Amino acid sequence: MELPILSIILLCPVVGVLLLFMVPEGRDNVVRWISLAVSLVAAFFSVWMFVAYDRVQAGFQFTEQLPWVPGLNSTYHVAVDGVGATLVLLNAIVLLTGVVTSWSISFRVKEYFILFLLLVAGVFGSFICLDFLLFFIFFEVAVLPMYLLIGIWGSTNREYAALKLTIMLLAGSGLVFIGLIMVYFTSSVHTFDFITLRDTGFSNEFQDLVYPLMFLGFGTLAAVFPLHNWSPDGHVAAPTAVSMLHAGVLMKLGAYGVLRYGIEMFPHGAQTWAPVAGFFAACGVVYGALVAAQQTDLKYMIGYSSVSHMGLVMFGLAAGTTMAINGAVYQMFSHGIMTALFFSAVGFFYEQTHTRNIYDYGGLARKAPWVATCFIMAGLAGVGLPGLAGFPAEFMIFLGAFERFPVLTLIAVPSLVFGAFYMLRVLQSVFFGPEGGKTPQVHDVGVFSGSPRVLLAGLIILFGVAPRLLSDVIAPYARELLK
Amino acid sequence: MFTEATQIQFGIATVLAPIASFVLIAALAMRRPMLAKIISLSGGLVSLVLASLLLFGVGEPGYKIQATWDWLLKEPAGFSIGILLDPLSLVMLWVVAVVGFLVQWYSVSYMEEDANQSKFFAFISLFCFAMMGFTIAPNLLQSFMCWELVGLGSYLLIGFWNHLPSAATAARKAFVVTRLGDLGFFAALLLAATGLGALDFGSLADSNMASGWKMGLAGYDYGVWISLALFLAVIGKSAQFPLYGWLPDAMEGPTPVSALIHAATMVAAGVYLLARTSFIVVLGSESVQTVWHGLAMLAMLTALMSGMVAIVQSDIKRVFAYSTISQLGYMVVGIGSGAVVAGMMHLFTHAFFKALLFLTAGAFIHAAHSNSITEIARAGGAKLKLPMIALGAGSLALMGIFPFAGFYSKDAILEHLFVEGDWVLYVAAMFGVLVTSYYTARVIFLMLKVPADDHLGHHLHVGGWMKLPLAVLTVGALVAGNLWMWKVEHWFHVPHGEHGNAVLITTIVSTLCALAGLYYSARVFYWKKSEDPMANWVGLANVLREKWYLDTAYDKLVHNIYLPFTAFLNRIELRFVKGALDGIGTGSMAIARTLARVMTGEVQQYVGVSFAVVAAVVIILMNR
Repeated sequence: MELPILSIILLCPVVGVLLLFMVPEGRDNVVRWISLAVSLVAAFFSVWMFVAYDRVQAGFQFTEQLPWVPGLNSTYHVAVDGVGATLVLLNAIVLLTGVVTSWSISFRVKEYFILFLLLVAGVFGSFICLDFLLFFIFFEVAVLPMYLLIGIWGSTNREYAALKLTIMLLAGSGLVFIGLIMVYFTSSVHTFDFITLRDTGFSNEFQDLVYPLMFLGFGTLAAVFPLHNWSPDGHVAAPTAVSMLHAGVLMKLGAYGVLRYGIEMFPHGAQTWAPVAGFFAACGVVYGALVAAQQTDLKYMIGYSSVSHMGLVMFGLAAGTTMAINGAVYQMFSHGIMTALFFSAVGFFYEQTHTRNIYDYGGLARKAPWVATCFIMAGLAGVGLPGLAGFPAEFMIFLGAFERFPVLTLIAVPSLVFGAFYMLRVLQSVFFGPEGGKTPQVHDVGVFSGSPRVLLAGLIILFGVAPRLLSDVIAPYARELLK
Repeated sequence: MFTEATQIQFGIATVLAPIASFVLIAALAMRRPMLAKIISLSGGLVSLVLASLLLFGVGEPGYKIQATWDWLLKEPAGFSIGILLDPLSLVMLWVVAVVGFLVQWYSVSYMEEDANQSKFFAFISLFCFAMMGFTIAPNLLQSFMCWELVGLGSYLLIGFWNHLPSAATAARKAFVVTRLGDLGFFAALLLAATGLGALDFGSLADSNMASGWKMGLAGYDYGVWISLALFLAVIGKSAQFPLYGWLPDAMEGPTPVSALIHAATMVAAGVYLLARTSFIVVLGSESVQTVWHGLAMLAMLTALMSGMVAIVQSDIKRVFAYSTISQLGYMVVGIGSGAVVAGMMHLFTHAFFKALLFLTAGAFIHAAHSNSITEIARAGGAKLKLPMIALGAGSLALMGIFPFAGFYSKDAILEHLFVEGDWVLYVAAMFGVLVTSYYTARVIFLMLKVPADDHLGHHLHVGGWMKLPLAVLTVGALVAGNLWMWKVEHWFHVPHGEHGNAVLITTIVSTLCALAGLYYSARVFYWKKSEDPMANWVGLANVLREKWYLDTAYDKLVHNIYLPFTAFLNRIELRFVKGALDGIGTGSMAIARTLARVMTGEVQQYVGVSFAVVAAVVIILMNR
C-alpha cells in the first residue's frame, strides 16, 4: 500500500494538539519539544512529498478518498497538484520556523502551542482537501484560532486588531459560505467534490454571479485592496510567529481559495470579472508600496509591503494567463518565505528592545550582523532583486499580465522603484548609519534561535537561483488550468 | 587553438571564479583578512588568465559560440541563462577581468587598515561575477538579472563605510535612481518577450525578425519602443542626463570601488548594452535611427554639461566622476550615431585610463588623507613620483593627446561624425574636447602649483601593492588604443572607406582643441597670467557648483512631491480605509447588542434558523 503521505502531514499538527492536551500544566519545555517534533515530522514529509511529486505526469497526486458524510456526497478527498504541493511545502517551512521562533513565548505556553498547531492543521487541511465542504471547515479552523492568538499573546492594540481581523475574515467566509451553498444546490451532481464540480461546470450566468462572492470572500483574506486594512493591524498586534503564519501562509490561503474555488471552478466568471479584479489588484500593488514609505513601525512597513506583494499575486491571478498564474503561485511561495523571515527578524529585535520604531535603531548591521544579513536579504527579495526568490515570481507575473492588461501592468511596474525606495530607506535607518538609541541592547544570538532565519534566507537564495525547483511543479498546473 | 567546448568551459570558469571567491570568503574568511585577500586575488587571477586565453587565443572575424540552459521554466523555452562568446563579449570580459584583478591587487594596500576588509573583498568578487555574467549574457533576461546584481554590488560597495550617513545615503540614491532606469530595461523585456516572442540576442538580431521590429504598437513600432525603453536603462546605469546625479555621490565608496565600478566597468554596462542591441538600428525602421540619434544628442549634452561641472570641483574624485559621465557621453554619442565599434573602442581605452586616474587619486588620498586637490598638494602630493607619472599619463589619455590611448578612440568617434556630416555633434564634441582638456589639466596644475606645506609633517608614501596596478595601467593608458587596433578591431566588420580627409582634419582639429584647453588651463592655473574665468562668470559658476540643479531637482522630487504624496495616501488609509472599517465595526456592535437578545443559547433554535435560511436559498435558486 502506498504511504498516505498527505494524511500523515495533516495528522502531525493534529497529533501534536492531542499530545499537548495531555501534557500537565507547567511543563513548558515538554510542550515546546513536542511542537518542534511534530513540526519536524511534518516538514520531513512535506519535503518528501514535494520531491516525490511527479513533475512530468503532473495533475493531482497522492490521492486518498474516504467516505465522510455520504448523505451530502461529501468525502474526505485529499490530493495535491502543483499549487497544493507548493503551498503545503510553504506551510511546513513556516510551521517549523515559527515553532522555533515561538520558543521564547512564556505566557500560557501550552495553550499557545495548541492554538498554533490547530491553526496550522487547518491550513494543511485547506491546501490538500478537494471537498468543498471539508475545505470550508478546515478554512474556518485556520482562521478562528487567530483571534485568540492575537487577543491573548499579542501586543499593540491587540483586542482591536484581533476583533477587526476576525470580523473581516468571518465576513469573507460568510460570502464563501453563500457561494458554497449555491454551488451545492445549483450543480446537477449535488456533490461537494471539487473535481466533479469543476468538470461538470456551471452555466455562464451562474459563474458570473458566484465568482465575485469567491473573489471577495477569499480576497479579503488575501488582503486585496481596498479590503486590506485588517491585515497590517493584525500583523502588528500578533505575536511574532503568528505574524509569520498570518502573512506567510494564511494570506496565501485566500489567494489559493480564489484560484481553486474561484478561477478553476468558475473560469467564465473569472474571465468576466478579470478587469475589475485586475484593477483593484494593481491598485493594491502600487498603493501598498506607496503607503509603506510612510511607516515608521517595522511591522506596519512589512504589513503594507505585504499588501503590495499580495496585490501582485492577485494581479497575476486576475490576468489569468499561463505565465501570470505561474508567477502568482511562485509569488505566494516567495512572499511566504520572505515575510516569515521579516517577522522573525523583527520579533527578534522587539524581544530585546521592545520597540519596532525604525528611528530607535541604526547601525544594527554592525551589532547583529547575522540577523541583519537575513533581514536585508528578505528586503532585497522584496524589491525583486534577481538571484533571490522574489524575482522569478515578479517577472512571470508582469510578463504574463502584460499580455492581458498592458496598461494596468505599466501602472503596476513602477512599484519596483517605489518598493526599492521604502525598503532601502528602512534598511538604511535600521541597519546602517550611526547607532540608534536602542541598538546597544541588541545582540546576535545562538545557533538554535538564529536557525529559522538562516534557513529562510537560504531558501530565498535557493529559489532565486534555481527557480525550476519550483516552476517545474507549478508550470504543468498553470498550463492545465488554461485548457 | 581550443575546441568550442573548452572555450565554453573557460568562459564559464571565468565568470564563476569570482562568485566562488565570494562564497568561500563568506563561509571561511570573514574574520581572516589575509585568507580573504588570497581567495579574492586567486579568483581574480583565474578570471584574468582564462579571459586572456580566450581573447588572445581564439578570436577571428565572425567568431561566435554560445551555450544556454533553461532557467526559469522548462517550457516555454527561451527563459534561459547561458554564455555567449563573440568579439564584443570577449573584449568586455577581458576588460572586466583585467581592471578587476588590478583593483583587487591595489586594494590589498588601500584597505589594509580597514576592520572589514574581508567583506570588501567578498563584495568586490560578487561584483565581478555579476559584471562578467552581464557581459557574456546571451539574452536580455540574463542581461537584466546581472544588470540588477551589478547594481547590488554597487550599492553594497558605495555603502561599504555605511556607518557614515553620507555613504549610506549615496548608496541608496544610486540604487533607487538606477532602478528608475531599470524600469526601462524591464519594459523592454516585457515588450520583447510578448511582442517579438524572443529574448535571446541571436533571434532578435536575426534578419527574419526585421518585420517584428517594424510591427506597429501604439503609434510607433516595436523597434522604437524597445529602443526607448532600453535608453532609459542606459541613462540610469551609464549616468546620462537627467539621471547622472547618483554617480558623483557614489564617490563615497572606497576609491578602488570608484575605479572598478564607477569608472571602468559598471557605468560602461549601459554602453555595452547599446552596442549589444545596436542591431535594432539595422533591422528597425527609419524612426529607430532617429531615436538613436536623439540619444546621441542627449549624450552630447550630458558630455558638455558634466564636463563643465568638472571644472569647478575641488574634490579630486569628483572631478574624475564628472569626467566619467562626460566620457560615457562620448561613447553613447558614438554608438547612438552609428559608430558602434568606435564607441566600444572608447569604452576599452577609457577603462584603462580612467581606472588609472581613480587609482592614482586613491594613492594621493591614501597618502594625504584628504580628497581635496589643494589639500593633497599642500600635503606634498606632487612629490609622489609614481602617482604623478600616472596622473600625467592618465590625464594625457583623457585629453586625447597623441600617442595616448584616448587619442585614437575619441578621434574614431569624431571621424565618424565627420564622415556622416553630423556637424552639430561634431562641433559640440570638439568643444567638449577643449573642456575636457581644460579641467583635466587643472588638476595637474593645481597639484604642481599649490606649495607643499612642510609644517604638515606628512611623510607620504605609496602602499606597496598600489604600485603594480598604477604601473600596468600607465602602460595601458599609453597603448590600449594600439592594442585595440592591433588585436580587436579586425574582428568587427568595420567598413573601411577612404576617409583620408576625415582622419586628417579631425586629428588636427581635435589636437588643436585639446592643446587649446591645456594652454588656457596653464595660463589660469600654472602661470596665473589669466584670471580664472569662473571668477568672472559668477552666474555660470554657481550653476556649475549646483551641478545644473539636478540634485536639487531630485531632492525636490522626493521631498516635495513623492513623500507628500505617500503621506497623503497614508492619511487616506487611516481616515477612510481604516475609518470605514471602524465605522462598520461600531455600527455592527450596535446591531449585535440588539441581536444578542435573539441568542438564547438553545441549539434547536439555531438549527431551526439555519435550516430556514438554507431552505430559503434553495427555494430562491430553484425558482430562478
